[in-house]
Parts: sequence; C-alpha cells; structure tokens
Amino acid sequence: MQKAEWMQSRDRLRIAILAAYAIGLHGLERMIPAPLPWLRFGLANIITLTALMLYGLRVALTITLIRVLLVSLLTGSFLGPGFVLSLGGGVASTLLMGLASALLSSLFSPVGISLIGSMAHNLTQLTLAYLLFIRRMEPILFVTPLILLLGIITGMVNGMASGLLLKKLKGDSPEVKATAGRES
Amino acid sequence: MSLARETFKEITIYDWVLLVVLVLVSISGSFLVRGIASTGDTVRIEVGGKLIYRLSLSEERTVEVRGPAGITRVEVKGGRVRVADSPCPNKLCVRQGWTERGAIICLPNRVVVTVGGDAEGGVDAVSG
Repeated sequence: MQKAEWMQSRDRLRIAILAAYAIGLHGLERMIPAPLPWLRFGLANIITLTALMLYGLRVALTITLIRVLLVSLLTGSFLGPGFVLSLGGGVASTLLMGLASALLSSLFSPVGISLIGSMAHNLTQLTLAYLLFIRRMEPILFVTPLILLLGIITGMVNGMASGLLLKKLKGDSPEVKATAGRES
Repeated sequence: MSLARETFKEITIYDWVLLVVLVLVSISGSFLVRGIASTGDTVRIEVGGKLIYRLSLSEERTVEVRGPAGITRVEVKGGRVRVADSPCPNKLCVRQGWTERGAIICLPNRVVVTVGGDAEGGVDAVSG
C-alpha cells in the first residue's frame, strides 16, 4: 500500500514536470513566427512522445490534457475553436501513438510513432474543423495535402528529437534507466 | 554528436516505408486537389456555413462580413482575392495573402472564402 502511494506521488511529480516542459516548449513555439500559415511545429509533442515511451499512455495523456487546458487558459482561448481543435488533435494523437507504441513498437522507432501521431493530430483537426466550423468539404480538401506534408516534416523532426532525448535520458539518468524498461 | 548518429541509425525500415507512403499520399493528394480546384470566376464568401457573398473575380470589390469575432474585410482585385483585415488572433487568413484558386479559411471568425469550384453550378446561380 505504502509502495503504491509512493509510486502515485512519483507519477504526479513526473506529470507536473513534463507538463511544465510541454507548456514551455509550446510557449517557445508561439514566439517563433511561422514561415508559412498552417505550419505548426508541435514541439510539445516531443514531451508527449517521450513521456509515452518512458511512462506509458496514462501519463502521456494526462500531460496532454494539462497542457491543452493550461495553454488555453493562459491565452484566453478556452472553449473557443482553437481550444476544441487542440484538445481533439492532442487527445487523438496521444491515443494513437499509445496504441502504435503498444502494438507496433517492434516495427517503429520513435520517429515512426511520431509520424503516426502527427497524422492523427492533423486528420482529427481537419475533421473537427469540417464537422464543427466549416461544414464545406471543398476548402478543407484544398488545405489537407499541404497540412499533411508539413505534418510529416515536423513529425519526423519531433520524432528524432524525442529519440535523442530518450537516448540521452537513458544514458544519463539512473532513475529513467531503472524505471523505463519496466513501465513502458 | 554520436548520440544523434545513433538516434538516426535507430530509425527502422518500417519508419522509412511509412514516411515514403505518407509523402506519396500527400503529394498525390495535392495534385488531386489541384485537379478538382476549378479556376472558376466566382468567389464565395461564407460565414458559419452560410453564403453571404458571391462575387466575380474579374470585378474589383471590397466587402465586409461579420462573424462571431468581428468584421472580416475581403478584397477582390485583378483576378485575385485576399482577406485584407480580420479580427482573429493569429491572422493566418491575412498572411495567406492573395490567392486565385483554392480557399482561405479563417477559423476563429468562421469565414470561408472559396475561389471557383462552384459546387452548385449554374442552376443555383439562376435561382439565387
């Protein structure tokens, strides 16, 4: 019992720290002027993916929910269209990456998982935008290929960043080394 | 930098296959979309799914539509259209600039500007 409680509070600490990193990265990303409209780097996904690989789906999903909620409260977009899209995209991509890493981790490295997450994120957002806000297929179809292509690039870069981070953590941190294999 | 090289080496063959498939799908998708994007002469301006204006591309005109966030100004000039001003926070629609095909979408203000591709065709134009 005592051990379970200790693990719970340890999980909470991890979630809090990683969520703070995710929000920090998201804030950094907002300060970079995007060279193209529709281009989102999705840097926070580096944290989601790393958390998923190290601590599993529950922790990753909690981090995503905290990030979306806090960012929307900080930027004043809570319950607005942007919030709905962030929430849908974030949850869908985290769930699909969780599924992929549980079932297909022998096939894909973090890069592949990240690509899957990026696709899930973009397709969910486009579907939500169609269902809730636009209600016309044509304009959505026009922007879909470009958004997917940009998503492939950012998904690739984020996946490699996450892979690098995982390697570095496993090499440097005894805590991660001790727990990673067991819990992921 | 050996960690980076190791990370790169860790990318599996299936990762590459997935990457190539996705790139091919989105590139062929963009050609497909180009194919259906008829370069019609019509500009449709919709707010929240409701058609507000149907303009001609050859006409020089600036119109204003009201959405949930405020007033969006759409400018048609020289066969092209742009969103000149918008109340949305990130101004993606304004930064997209002039366009002569496809669409400009401003999500916060629910404004959709579509060039050509008039799905309803001539019949609607007569009755409307």
